[in-house]
Amino acid sequence: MSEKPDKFSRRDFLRGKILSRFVDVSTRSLQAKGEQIANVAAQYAAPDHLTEPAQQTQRQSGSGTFPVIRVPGAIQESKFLAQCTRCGDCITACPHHAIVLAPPSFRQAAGSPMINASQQPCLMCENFPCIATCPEGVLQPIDKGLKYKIADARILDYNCLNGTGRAAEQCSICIEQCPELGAIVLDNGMPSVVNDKCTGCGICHYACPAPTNAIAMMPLLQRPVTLTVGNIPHDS
Amino acid sequence: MSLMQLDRRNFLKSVAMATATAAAHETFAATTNDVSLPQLDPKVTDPPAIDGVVWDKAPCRFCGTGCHVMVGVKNNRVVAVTGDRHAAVNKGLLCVKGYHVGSILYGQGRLTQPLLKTDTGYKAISWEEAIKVIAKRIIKRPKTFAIYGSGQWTIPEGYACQKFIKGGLANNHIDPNARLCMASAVTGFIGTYGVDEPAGCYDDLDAANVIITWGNNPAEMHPVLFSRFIDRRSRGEKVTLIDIGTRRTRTTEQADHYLCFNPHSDLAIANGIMQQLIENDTFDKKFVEQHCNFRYQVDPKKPGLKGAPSTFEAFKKAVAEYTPERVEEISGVPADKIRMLGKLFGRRDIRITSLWCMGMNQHSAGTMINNLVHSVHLLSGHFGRPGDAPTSLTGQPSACGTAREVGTLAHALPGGRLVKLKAHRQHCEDIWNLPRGRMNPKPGYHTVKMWEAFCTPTDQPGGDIDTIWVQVTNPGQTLPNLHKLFDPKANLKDKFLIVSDVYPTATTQLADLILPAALWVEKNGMFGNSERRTQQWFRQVTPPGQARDDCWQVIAVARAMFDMGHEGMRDKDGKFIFETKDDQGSEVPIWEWENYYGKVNVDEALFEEYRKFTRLKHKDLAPYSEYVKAHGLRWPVVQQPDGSWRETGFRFSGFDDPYVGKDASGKPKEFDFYHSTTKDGRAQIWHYPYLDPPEMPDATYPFWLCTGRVLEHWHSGTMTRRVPQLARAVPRAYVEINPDDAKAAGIAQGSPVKIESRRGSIVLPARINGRGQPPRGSIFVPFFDETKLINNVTLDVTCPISKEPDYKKCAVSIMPVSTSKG
Repeated sequence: MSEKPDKFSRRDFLRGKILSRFVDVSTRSLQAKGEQIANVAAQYAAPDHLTEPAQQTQRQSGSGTFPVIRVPGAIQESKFLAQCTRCGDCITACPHHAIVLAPPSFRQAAGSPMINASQQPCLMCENFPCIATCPEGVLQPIDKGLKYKIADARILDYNCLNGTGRAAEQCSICIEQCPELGAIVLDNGMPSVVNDKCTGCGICHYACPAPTNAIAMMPLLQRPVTLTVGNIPHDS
Repeated sequence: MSLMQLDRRNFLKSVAMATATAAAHETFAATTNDVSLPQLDPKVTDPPAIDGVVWDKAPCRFCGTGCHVMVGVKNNRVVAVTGDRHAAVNKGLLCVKGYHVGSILYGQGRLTQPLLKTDTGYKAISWEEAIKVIAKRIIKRPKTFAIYGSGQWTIPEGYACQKFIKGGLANNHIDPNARLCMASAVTGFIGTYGVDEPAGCYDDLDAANVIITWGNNPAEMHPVLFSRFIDRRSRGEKVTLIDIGTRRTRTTEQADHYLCFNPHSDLAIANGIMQQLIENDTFDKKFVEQHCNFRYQVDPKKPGLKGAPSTFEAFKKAVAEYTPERVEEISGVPADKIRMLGKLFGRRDIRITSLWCMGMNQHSAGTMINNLVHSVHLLSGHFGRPGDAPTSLTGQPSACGTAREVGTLAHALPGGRLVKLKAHRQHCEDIWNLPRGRMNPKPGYHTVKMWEAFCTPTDQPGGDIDTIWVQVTNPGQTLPNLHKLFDPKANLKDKFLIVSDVYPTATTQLADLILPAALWVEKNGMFGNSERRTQQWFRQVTPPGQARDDCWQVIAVARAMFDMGHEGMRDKDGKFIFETKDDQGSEVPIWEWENYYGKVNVDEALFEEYRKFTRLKHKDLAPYSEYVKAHGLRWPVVQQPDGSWRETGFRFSGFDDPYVGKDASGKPKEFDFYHSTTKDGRAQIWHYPYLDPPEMPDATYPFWLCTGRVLEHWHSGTMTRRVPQLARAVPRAYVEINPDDAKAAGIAQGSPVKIESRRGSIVLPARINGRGQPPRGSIFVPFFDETKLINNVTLDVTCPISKEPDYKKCAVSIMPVSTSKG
């Protein structure tokens, strides 16, 4: 990588750069400089690229926290970091193995529980065993009638198979697989995320078949965030 | 990652490349009124230079479209794939499977050594042992041995199998899974034109004003072709799409008209169009008079490939009953829509292309509906001009090139020859230098019969196949009615199943001997796509472990039998039937793996021999070296006076096909069906009545079941399910149900549903209002998921002529499964 270990600007952040570096190896080719279009249609990394949690960047300088996708119910980040004992109970409790330890490159967050949707998205269990098991209270249940929100999905149009302006591919996998009705909608042929409905579970990111993943999972800067349920019509 | 170190020059190059190729990265393509694609600098290297990556061409491994990709290799590993913008088929475009085609080599669980089943499980054995086991078994019982392959065989692989079994063993039990896929298209073409394969080509899609999809969903199954004509709309052209189908699909979303018909009633619709053409007196009299005969089946219940001669008067009388109202009654399609179709076909000022694939082929009257759709085009004169074509699409990369042209079918010989014709056998014997009279005149068993015989005890009547060698396909998942045609093998100890494959599959589960095979660019190969385009590629990486070419496996077995003294493996001069010589004229022992990729290109040697067979039916192929240079060539490829080779886009049309005869003035005729079954240069217009299918919904099994594919998975999913991006996109099979049927049956979105037929049952999650939406009374299930075998449920009734089973309709019941039980 020729990438310089520069500070992350807000612009970088919005372009998904942080994610590409720390959360999802498959979007690493996303560059703020525009080189992404130089990417070939499909690049095959080593076969273990899907199971490796994140690239080791080993940076010495810099401090402070940066956004991590946390487990449902996670309290405000600084408190979370201070109070979470890294006991691993939520990891054991998760029936889908969606909760993993943050890798060393995450500095203060290293070793704390997080969700890496590239490996396994959060399936938002009905009874949230992760929250129920948390002994420290850093995962807090919310009122009935509300939904947990752990992240925001963001469609990267230039990676999306539908973003070609041509109909070579009409892909709707993110919409098909999204468990929240109406959270991703088709807008003029392009999928678009409705933030008020997206829980950030990461299923769309996990399922996206584009050569370079077209859905970035943006961690929440402030927590907790909840969504109201009820205005979503469910057909059963 | 060296991509990021591009210098400015390379960067600009790759930007240009990306414009044309990587659809995924086009942010500025034709969405404005300025609709022409960005102009490319022809001098720009394509694809971009990346450190240490060597690029070479290959056709995509998946479907019959035949897209070309550029494969990037570094350190003996495929590291990148991009659409090939120089390829006429796809012009740089790929579908989602194509983008990931390189990953199929590196899926989980590649088979890397020969495995022999023992009482305690599988034992790894050496190739020498494996070859010996097969050779001994065949020598012992050469007549009860069969080969089952597919349209995924490369041309030389299929040819080697063909020569081995028909020339060497004098046994005709060889059939490809293409029998389950395009056999009805073959019989349709032969019954109509006297010779197989489409007259038109993909260029028709650039010129047609109207495209009609008959039970076809190219938006998902042939997306690159679909985009080829849908894109024309964004360039301001008017392209009318008419979808005649049994469920709403992504194709329907783009269609101007959707005609939803009751399964099987496409026969009535085609008849209805012809009735309208005659009633309105808008059929093409000149075309019919000059170029067509009429044909019918004396007894529609016992049809034959060539039928009996008929007359226009008799034809007129026969189709007269298919008035729009009568057709509406049978098909459920409103009479006005039938009139609309009749009017369209009656117009001389527009060009109409019909497309079909499995919907018309996997049909218990598959040959008949194929014949009828050709007849609609012939009667209306919508034939033979660019844009006017009845064109069948294929689902496998070399269904045309290998199964149909090499003729790896139980009744066929290379180049359109037939086993039962003495002259054809003698021609083969002469080219193969075999003693006259060696070859067996009796056609072998077609697919369903072959597996039925294999699943019947050897000592019982009808059990006379005891060894099957399966290559490049997965019958344990794709045969219909698996409980009858595959599963019984498990309890038949004297049956022996040999499977050459790259991954463990539903078929290897019952295999006695598993042979690890090389895949795609791990071997040299040639494919022939839907539009008669023959394509070539070279081996670019070595296969893993001890995996080896399917073609080598056959030659090695043949040589082992030769060494054991089997007479069939010798030609009439006593030489090995696969004898291959180097440039100096000395024999190369290609049966030894070390020499297989050495002094000689075995693919080239086999292809050059096979080429001699292709002239008879005017399917002329060029020398191997021409295909190395080209992105495929469409046959007949004919040498020009200047020595160059010219491909043919439009067969039977005087303006393009060099084999069209000349008229009195010495000019090529406008049309000439020079392989006409009536030997008068005419094509056949058929009449065939609508008859009910063999199984229809009733009180016990009230639903129609249709099976098929999804965009993200190909065939039985053994490759695509191992590509993480594709597997995650569509992880499991499901059943599409109409919302009203779901409501009536108490089935919720995603809840398990039991689907049951007279033959078997399966439980699948419900999908309501998904990308496919069946009408009331119909359900749809994709067949890619080896954990959910829908073919336990399907029917094994075949078209009486093509012997192709009907996977598109059988009667089933649906029932919600209570989840509380677990």
